[in-house]
Amino acid sequence: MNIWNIAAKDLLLLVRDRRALVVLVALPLVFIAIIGMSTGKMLGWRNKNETLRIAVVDDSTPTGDAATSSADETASDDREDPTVDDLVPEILARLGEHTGIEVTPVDALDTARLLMEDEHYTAIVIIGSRFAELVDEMAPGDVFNTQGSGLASDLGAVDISMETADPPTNASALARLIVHNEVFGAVAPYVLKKNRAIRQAIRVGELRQQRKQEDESSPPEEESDFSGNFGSIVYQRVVPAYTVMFVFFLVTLMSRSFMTERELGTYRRLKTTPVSSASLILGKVIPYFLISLVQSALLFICGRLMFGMSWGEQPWLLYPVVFSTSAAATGLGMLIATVVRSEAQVTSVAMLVVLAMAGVSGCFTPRDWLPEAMQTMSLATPHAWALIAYDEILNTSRPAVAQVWQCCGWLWLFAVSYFIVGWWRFRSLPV
Amino acid sequence: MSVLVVEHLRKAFDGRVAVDDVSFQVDAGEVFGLLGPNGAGKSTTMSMIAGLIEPDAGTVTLTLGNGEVTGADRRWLLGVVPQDLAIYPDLSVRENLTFFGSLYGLSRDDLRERVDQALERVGLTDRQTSLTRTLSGGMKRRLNFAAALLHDPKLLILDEPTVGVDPQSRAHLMDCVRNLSQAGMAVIYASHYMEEVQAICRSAAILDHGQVLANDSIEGLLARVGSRVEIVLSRRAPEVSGKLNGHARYVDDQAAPRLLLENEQDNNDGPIAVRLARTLELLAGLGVPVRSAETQSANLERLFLDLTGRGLRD
Repeated sequence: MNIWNIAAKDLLLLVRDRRALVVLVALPLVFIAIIGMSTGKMLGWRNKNETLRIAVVDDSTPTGDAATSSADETASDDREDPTVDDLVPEILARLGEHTGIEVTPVDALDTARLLMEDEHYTAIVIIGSRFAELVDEMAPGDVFNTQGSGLASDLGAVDISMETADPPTNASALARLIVHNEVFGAVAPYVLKKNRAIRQAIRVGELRQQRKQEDESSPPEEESDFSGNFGSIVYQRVVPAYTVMFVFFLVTLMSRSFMTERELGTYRRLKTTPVSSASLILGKVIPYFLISLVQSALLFICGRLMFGMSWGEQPWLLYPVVFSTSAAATGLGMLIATVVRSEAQVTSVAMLVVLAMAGVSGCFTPRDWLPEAMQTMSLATPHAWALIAYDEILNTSRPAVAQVWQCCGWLWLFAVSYFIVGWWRFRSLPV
Repeated sequence: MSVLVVEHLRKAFDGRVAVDDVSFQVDAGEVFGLLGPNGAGKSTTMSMIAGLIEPDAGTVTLTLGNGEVTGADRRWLLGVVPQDLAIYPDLSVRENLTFFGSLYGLSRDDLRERVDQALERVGLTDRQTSLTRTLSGGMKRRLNFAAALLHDPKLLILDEPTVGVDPQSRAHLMDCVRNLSQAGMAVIYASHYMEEVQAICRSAAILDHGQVLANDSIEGLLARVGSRVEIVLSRRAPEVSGKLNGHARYVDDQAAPRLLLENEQDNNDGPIAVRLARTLELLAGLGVPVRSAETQSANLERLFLDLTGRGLRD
């Protein structure tokens, strides 16, 4: 009973402490918004500077054929295959499907060059007048010939050329790669199907895949609601990262609360009442645990409402991770609270621990960007396990539930370890 | 009947003895004073009684009815008013009292009633919704006091309850203590204000350097020091010294020359009034003018001075 009396008292004090609320809730939101704005993702707004913008000048001459122009005459089935005239629209469509690529058809090369100069287009793709003719003449061997002028090594094989900004940049190299890939992806099947055997083999493969899907009666894989929303992708990482970091900020508030209790003399007074040490500790820990749950929930809700982030394919998995992360954070808070001895130490020691752990674990920069050694080292922090779990839940189309539970297990191991050491230290504190 | 019996308490910190062989007992309805300067061992003694620290030796026995109460159960009988304010500045007066009262498992109605009583007792009913940080120092002291009364303790421990308190609040607190003792509560009143102890305590122990120098009823303690009359002379008169016949003592140090008449128990030279009359006659006969005369009644301050050779506030 005394646990709840103490918890209610601390909760009341915490709610009245506006500074604490600012640190726990407002500050992370501000940080997330700033990161969002600086990366151009606030409220779905998309920064054009981060988009590969490609102008396409189509000078090719349509053949006017309604059927496969030069497909093997013996090849016949009831399926309509694309004609050579369908290839250019298909290439444009394939390019346009890429997240982060904007394709603009342009009538004239001069216009395209102006776009590159004035509008910072990354590249110009010029589809030459002999495109259809060269594709029709191309044999399967020409597609994969990487030594000479085959399509695999040179777009010139189908009269396609590219102009990019000078000097070359990573973006222009990326544009070349993507364009080459998509031209190859559109043209190669068309050319290969000219050969009857290959055509049939491809057809058999397609039918087999179709039957397999029907047998399994599995619904077509749904696109996650974030997959097409480039504007929210940054938040898939930023929101959990800052949530984890700021959940652990309660370490400083917990430390301050324990220390204030000692400084006020109320800790000593409480020790003269029938309150047991266990009630006292749990009564002081529970409010911070609850606050951190609310904090995480608020940040994820705001992430969704304000920044359009997704909660992943299995949002329920967020519950155990939020719960486990909060437990680890309050455990660490209790441990640190028994270590610090003054307000200055709260500021220095607690902040140092919190920021160092956040930095090492990948709260500031995506974990993937960290050196491998640091990624391994960071597994000694609860932050890292929380981030791994959130990444699995938020950024994969089919989260590995076992991995999420494993992360939760580690977080609880941290929580229990911190609690045990903190409890032991707390009981030996001088009255 | 004794509520508290303290026997041969001893406590040392890092080899420094803070409390050494302290013994006393407190009866129900008695206000017992612990008198001593800062560092005398009062707070350490009370911490051991409250169970905050374990004694190195000795025993603390709390009795309720005919049964001895031991261990953590003692906390239900104790009310502790710490020397420093131990209340939450960001809770209101009522919230503070409700919180501390709730720790004793009182029902909601009972708790509300006791909080009302405590507020009335310390005169804070009008300020019950105010945040504690907005109260005056004296009001905070009263709240600090009230927070220890909610569970109706059998033994109330007051550690310097009036330090830094305005005269009005001091008088209020002392009235409260008197009322509580009259209602049967045993009270330990630790202070270095001897006039407070003398005013409200039935008995007291005088501590210095962790040891009990005297432990008796207030009357018994005061009986150890006699009245004193000091006659300040207008000029030095060493010739008087040989003619006093033990009625008085001539003192001529850095202060003004004076004669001291002390009513000590072992003085067999007659009542102080008789000796005073004879001394004044002698001075008149010798033509030594008297500048002033001052009488000093017996008090605990003088007793402490006599016992230790220094003042309580030194």
